[in-house]
Amino acid sequence: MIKEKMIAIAPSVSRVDLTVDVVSRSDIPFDGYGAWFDPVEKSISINDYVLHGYTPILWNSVLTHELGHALGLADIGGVNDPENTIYQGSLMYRQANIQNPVQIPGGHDKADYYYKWP
Amino acid sequence: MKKIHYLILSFIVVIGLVGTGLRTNIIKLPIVKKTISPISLLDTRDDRNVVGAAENVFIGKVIKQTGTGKDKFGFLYTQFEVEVIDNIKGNLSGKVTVEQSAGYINGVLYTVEDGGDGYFEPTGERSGFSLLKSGATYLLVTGYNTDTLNYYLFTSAKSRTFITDDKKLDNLKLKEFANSNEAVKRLRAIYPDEILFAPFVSAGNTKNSFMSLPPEEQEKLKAEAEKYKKELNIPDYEPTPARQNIIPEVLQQDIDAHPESQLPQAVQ
Repeated sequence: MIKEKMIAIAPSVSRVDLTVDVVSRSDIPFDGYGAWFDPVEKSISINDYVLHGYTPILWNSVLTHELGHALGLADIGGVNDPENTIYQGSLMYRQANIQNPVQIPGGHDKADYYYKWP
Repeated sequence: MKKIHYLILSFIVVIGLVGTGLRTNIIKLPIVKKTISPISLLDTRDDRNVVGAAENVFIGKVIKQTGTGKDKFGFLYTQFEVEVIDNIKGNLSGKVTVEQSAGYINGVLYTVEDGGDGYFEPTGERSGFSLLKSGATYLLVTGYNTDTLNYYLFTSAKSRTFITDDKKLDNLKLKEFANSNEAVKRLRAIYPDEILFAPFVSAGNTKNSFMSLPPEEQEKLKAEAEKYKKELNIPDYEPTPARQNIIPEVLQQDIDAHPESQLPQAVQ
């Protein structure tokens, strides 16, 4: 089942800048992906199959992370760099923190944001 | 015809050939672009999570690329015919189709996959990524696509480890060679300690879990795992709790930590 919500980032609602939808993908190769931003479709998809049963806090955290991508921010931290743990408290860290979901942008997030949007 | 005309004509022909080559993906540019930007709940830094989330972990020799396409959600994939050489998790045999979440469009490789040693640059480009190669043997970590009924490679860089492309090895020698590979031994050592992925547990999607094996099979694999743990100096893991109830546990911890997060009650 797909539920769609339209979010107009720009003040005008006659143009949709970003679509957010909820999908349930059990078949996909997006192992463990709770959400993703598609720059071509300009959409954020939240995967209920993975996030089902988790709290609104985690949903909020992954959605905010994807909004960061929509704003042009990249992930922080690589898959195979366990030493890079200092960024785990960042909103844009590539790995969701299930035990303690990040809610607000950290120092690195803000630095990247202001670099991108001076 | 004047020389300049020949030059112009040659230029047009070359442009046409290059364009056709790119359109048909015969010409492959050294550019890799990422299709989407996701966030994962699966912590692939710990191999126990990688093995636990997989339905199959096996050694496979890529026979050939068999097709490309887009799934019903529009994501690009490339399919390969793969011959199963040996299993670490699961019990595959013969030839299977493995899908990789990547493919060429106009000579540019698009992929969902994360970076291996790093991550995609803000430009969305990354070097070093490639599709599975025909004739090469890999250690593969896969899930099962219930839509296409094929095996899909996880998008983590850990989903495939190159073992060899030596054509002189027959399947028996290939199996022996692959099983001497450290990455293969490591996953054999880890399988009994795998951590099942909580959302998959909730959905009843834990086929081939270590816990599901008959006791005698578990004992045999544990003995083998102990041997590899000693050889590779892998420490014993703390026993992990049963994962069937992980979501309610996390739920309660989350609520306790953030009481302000509770949604307001609807006004009656």
